Amino acid sequence: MSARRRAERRLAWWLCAPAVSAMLAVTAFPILYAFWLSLFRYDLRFPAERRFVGLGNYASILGSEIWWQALGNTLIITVGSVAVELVLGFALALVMHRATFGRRTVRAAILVPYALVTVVAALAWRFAFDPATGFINALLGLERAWLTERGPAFLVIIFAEIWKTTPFMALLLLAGLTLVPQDLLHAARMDGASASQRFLRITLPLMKPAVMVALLFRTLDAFRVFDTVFVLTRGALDTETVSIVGYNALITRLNLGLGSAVSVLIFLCVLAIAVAYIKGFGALLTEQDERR
Amino acid sequence: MASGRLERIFWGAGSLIVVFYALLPVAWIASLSLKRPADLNDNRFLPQAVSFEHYRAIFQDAQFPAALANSIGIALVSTLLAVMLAMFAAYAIVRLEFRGKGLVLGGALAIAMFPAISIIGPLFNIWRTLGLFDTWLGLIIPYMTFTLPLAIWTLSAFFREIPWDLEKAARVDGATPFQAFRRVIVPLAAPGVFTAAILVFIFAWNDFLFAISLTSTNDARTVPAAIAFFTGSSRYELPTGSIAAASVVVTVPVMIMVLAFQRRIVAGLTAGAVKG
Amino acid sequence: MAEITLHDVTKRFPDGTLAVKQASFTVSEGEFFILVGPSGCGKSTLLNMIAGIEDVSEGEIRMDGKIVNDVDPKDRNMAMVFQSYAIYPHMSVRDNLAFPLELARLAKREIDRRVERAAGILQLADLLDRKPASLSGGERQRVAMGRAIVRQPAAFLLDEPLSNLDARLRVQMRTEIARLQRNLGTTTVYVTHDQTEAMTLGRRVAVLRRGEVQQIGTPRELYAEPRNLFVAGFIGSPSMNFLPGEVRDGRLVLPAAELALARPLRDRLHGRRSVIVGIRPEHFHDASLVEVGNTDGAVVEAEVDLVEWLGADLYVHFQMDCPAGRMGALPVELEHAAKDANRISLVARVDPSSRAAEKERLRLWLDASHLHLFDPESGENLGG
Repeated sequence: MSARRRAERRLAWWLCAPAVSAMLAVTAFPILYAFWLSLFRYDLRFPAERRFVGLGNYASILGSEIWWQALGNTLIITVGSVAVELVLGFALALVMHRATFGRRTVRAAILVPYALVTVVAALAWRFAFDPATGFINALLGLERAWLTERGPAFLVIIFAEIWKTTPFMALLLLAGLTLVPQDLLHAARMDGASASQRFLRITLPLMKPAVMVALLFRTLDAFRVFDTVFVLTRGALDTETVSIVGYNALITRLNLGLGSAVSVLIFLCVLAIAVAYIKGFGALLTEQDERR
Repeated sequence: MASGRLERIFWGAGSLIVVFYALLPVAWIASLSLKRPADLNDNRFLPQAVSFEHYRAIFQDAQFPAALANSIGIALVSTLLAVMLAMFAAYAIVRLEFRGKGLVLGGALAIAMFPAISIIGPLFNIWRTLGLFDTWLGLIIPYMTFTLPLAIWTLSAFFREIPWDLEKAARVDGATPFQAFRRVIVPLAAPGVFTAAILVFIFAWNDFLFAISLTSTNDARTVPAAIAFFTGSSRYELPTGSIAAASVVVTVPVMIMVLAFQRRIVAGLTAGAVKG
Repeated sequence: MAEITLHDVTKRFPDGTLAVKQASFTVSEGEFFILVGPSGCGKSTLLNMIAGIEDVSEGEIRMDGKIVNDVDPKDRNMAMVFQSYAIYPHMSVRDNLAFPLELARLAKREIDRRVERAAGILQLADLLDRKPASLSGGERQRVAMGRAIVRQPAAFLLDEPLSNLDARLRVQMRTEIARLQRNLGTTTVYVTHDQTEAMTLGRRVAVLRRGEVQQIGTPRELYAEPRNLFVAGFIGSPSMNFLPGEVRDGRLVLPAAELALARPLRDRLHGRRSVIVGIRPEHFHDASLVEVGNTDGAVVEAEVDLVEWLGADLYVHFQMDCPAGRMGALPVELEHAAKDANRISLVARVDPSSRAAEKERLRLWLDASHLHLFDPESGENLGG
């Protein structure tokens, strides 16, 4: 390797080092530390009684109803919100793509949910659904106390999540939409395709990569849901998600051992989802690469 | 493209619905914040009469102004640091050839997918030992880390669009390296840097999990955390009005910033996310 | 096979620009009709309106007598080949060809039959299972054409299908397209900016400029009898030479020569004092190689700038002295031909055996029986 290439490489590493070390230091090291902590019975309220239990914490968690309930809840929220987001996001993306009137207003409006503090949005919905202060009951003519029962509470949580994250999904889909060449749609029109046929047979297949990326990130984000659930129910009424379980164990009850085990389990779940998706993409991308 | 009047009205109506959708909660919380304390339970969307009582209340209480100051300070510092580090990394990625490029980008991707909840435990413990618990730095560090991926992607995408040859042209025209950089590259890079800064700021401003896990007092508690723990006049009631007022105060500045630069932000988000 | 008629078709864009102004012509059944003109002249817009992709602002488009202004493109039974080919990247060649037939709900057997047939005609048989990304430019172009052929439509619309090909392939595909159209006999409307393509392919050609149809005719008619300055300068390569001319005492005075004016021509001038004279390169001859004085003409002294020898042709780029002030007669567009205020640049096509050499003086014979005279303001051809 020439001296110049070496110098370039050195410079590159120097430039990347700060960012890379920041990223590694605050994630890699702590997750290893979390794994270490999870091997102990360690409650901060009784620090002296700390002792090594191997995989004991994992056994208790995996044997506990709370964990599985929470995992189930998390999956319900994830699947529910991502599914609706995808459809709604597509509709939104199409509106932004085709609307000539007020395009700038729409684009600005889309960013409002993104920029709004999640806690504030969740509180707004909480107050809206509250029978005492809210307008939803008045609007729908109901007397329901939404956040006092599991089912309705779930609905509110999923609704609030969908409200907040659909615009971002829409933006990603819009970017994918604009990548479909107009000419192809004209050609399809000439070939005899109706609007829905053009959408299903030309637009959608060509958007697959963008859709896959959007889905991956949205799914991971949905799985990690915390703010909305915390503000709406604090996890009560059996609406706990895995993140809430972790928070409660670690910060509320200061049980570092058990809490760390939960943390590691969550990490592994996220890893599993990511790997599954990437394997799925991989299959998709090699299919596309054949054409290259 | 042949589009009839009807079609345009249809899409126009769609746009209106979108605007309505986006602004509903914001309008609602603003309305709540302006309702007279007695009217809070009137179940109406709009206030019957406007009152600034709640705004007065939150600024009189020490909690909120402190939280506001914390939020602003921490977010600004995090933004500054994250953007600086990301700039260097993005420059290297776009302009230099080195084997670790894929690793850095892949690593950034991994961080973006990382569950923050998994490290609040260790961080909590480590920060306690290091004395970083309940400090600005205690929040700035994780914020910096978790915004780096987005910042690096956004900046890489913007930097890729810059015609770097202009720098050489300026040198040939007689500029020193520094002059060339300052007068040709900086103006071209500025919009990208600005956009990345806005995106990072929004993340730091918005964060809740780290804020409630790694702080406990007014020393470093940010507004999202403070709002969630607002105490009211009685232990069983949420001080709806105060919360609403605090929410509006924390929302409006960010909204103005976002609306002013919406074009750039959309470009940054899609460039960073899709191309990444 | 369909007959396509346009009557006063106009296209006005939302911002007010007039892309096409009152275009009227008829493409008869089975005819190969060409729309040619420089970029921005509105030819693609016109084609899109025939296809139905663009709305017609005013006027009528008829197919076989029926007005089709409001008929959706997919119902017009026309096939279009786009400049970018627009073949579906996520489908194989076979699927690309079959797509329109599937949409038309044809029986599988019929679809296969037509696909095979089109693939045979266009030599795509080996490529049927490949994806577009792995094909070369020429192959993709044939797929685009194949997709049009399988439909057996009433008309083919082609939008600059050869522009993206390299020069050699372009010439090759040009003859293929001509042959194909002759065999299939389908009414074809073809858009191009290349006048060579227009002249070689079309049975009839419409020249457009800034949205207006300048002239419609066979290639011969356009070449020999251009209606105005624009058509005269657009058709033919190298283009026609233009010189300022003055009429004095019944004679035509050119910058470097004088010619007698025949009576009928003089009459058609209606007393104009200045005209623009158009002379095609092939009507200048090397004076040493022809019998001077036999026919109507004049000798011109030229200073040779550049000589281009192409084997069968010899092009001489030369300068002619032009008395001060006379250049003003030329319209602005033609002034680019002037090197400076006193000299005008011209091209002559002479016999390859000529001894013309750069930087030397050459005597040329100007054949005046093939002059064109144009009105300096309107550009209209006055005769010649």
